[in-house]
Amino acid sequence: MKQMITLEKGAQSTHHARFLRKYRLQNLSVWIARLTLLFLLIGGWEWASQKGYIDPFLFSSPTLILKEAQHLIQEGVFFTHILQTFLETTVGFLGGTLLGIILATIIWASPFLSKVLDPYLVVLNSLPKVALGPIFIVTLGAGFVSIIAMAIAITIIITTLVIYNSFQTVDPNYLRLVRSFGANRFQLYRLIIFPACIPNMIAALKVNVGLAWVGVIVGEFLVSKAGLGYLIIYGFQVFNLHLVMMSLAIIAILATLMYQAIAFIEHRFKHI
Amino acid sequence: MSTYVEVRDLTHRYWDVKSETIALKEISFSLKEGSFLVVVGSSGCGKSTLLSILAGLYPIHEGFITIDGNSLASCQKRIGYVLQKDALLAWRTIKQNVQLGLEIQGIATLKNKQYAFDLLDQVGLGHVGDHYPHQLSGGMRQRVALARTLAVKPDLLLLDEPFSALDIKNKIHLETLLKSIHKQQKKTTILVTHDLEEAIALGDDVLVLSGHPGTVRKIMKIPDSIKNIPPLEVRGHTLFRSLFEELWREVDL
Repeated sequence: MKQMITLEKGAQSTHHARFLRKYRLQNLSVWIARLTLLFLLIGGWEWASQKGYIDPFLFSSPTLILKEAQHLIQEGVFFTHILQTFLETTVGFLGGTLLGIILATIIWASPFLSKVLDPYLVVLNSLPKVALGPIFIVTLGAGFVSIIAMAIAITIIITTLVIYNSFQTVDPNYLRLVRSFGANRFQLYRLIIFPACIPNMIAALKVNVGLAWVGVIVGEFLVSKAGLGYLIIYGFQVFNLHLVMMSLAIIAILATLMYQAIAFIEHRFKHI
Repeated sequence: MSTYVEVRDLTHRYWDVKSETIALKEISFSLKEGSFLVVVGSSGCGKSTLLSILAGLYPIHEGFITIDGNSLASCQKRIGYVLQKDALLAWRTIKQNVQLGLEIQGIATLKNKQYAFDLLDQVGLGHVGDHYPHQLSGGMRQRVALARTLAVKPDLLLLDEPFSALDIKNKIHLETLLKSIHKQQKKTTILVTHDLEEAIALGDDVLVLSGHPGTVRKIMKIPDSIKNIPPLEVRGHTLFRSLFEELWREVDL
């Protein structure tokens, strides 16, 4: 009975109460199902490996992963690796997005330039950016800078294209309006184009979080001596698949947290 | 009163790679200071093009336009332009929207801002100053757009089908508001519409454009007895029917 009352909290009529109960019950059951699924997956994995249905040497198990994490924490390197990768990814996706917006602005400022550069952007966009890895390593050295360059390379071109496209699709009525007030091109950008495209920029951030992870992990595969990508490659080389699985789990958690952080920022800008 | 707006032999062409289109051909008319001209015509007859040229959005290729004896180019900031779509900036509050023109023209002083907020009061929306545009109805938004344009104190007011997206009640409400503001401020006004009733209800003169290419077909004078009454009453006036039929015959399909 008590649970019924909380489910119907804030109801303004019996029909509203019925609606609220149904709505909240549905939400609740979705969450229960999600958690159950997670529990079953992890529990099933553990159970199958302990019973020997799957080989723990190849597929690891939740407890073995935790043991591996504990081992790294004891060695005092666990958080160093996480922090390294987290920093690289953050700098990469923020840098890629920011540079992409700046590039889009430069192209927008000159319609001639935009026409000239158009085929080049198309080619750069189709190019698999991780193929540039060796060039970065040779020019920027085998370290932090190369990895960030990789993350930026993956995000910058698509950001430029998407943001420039959103600049061009701003409501032409806005442009007529401010031009009728005698606005110059800089005012046009500051008062209309830029604020109108803030939602697109946040959407670009969301996409770039995922892309930057690709760049950073591949970058760490190639050069790094620390970070989660390094742990994956190292674990693979010494056939310690618990280490690989543990790194994957941490990447999944970190990537989700970063995505949610941006979703939160997006929500704050939602009065438009 | 003296001639304020003078349009002489204005011809306007559009080009694309394949062809040339003549949108307006040898348009000539003049407007006295403080008068209200309504331009009517079928869609595609070039009436919006004419207004865009007057607003300084398109260059003049052939012919000339003077405002109070000066070339149009030197008067850009003295012209106010209201669009069919209100184009209120979604990320700004109503108050911030109303002072947009002041910011662009670099005259956002306290005094001018206060004048803008007074205009907001005058259009009956002083109480929603801190709201965002999406919280307002279409009619309210267009009233804000009108206040935003008047805030820069334009000498010439241009309106491009400003009420055509509104329902009849809001439309007549806004017509009444515009007519009373015009009476009070004596601002020279040009309004473009395809609504013949609106033309008779608002104008001192009605200019009929015929299309392809756009030329002046006729300029009709509205009698004083109609000029001085509110738009709703105009529609019930004894002279209204005959004026409407006269216009009806002149406008192309």
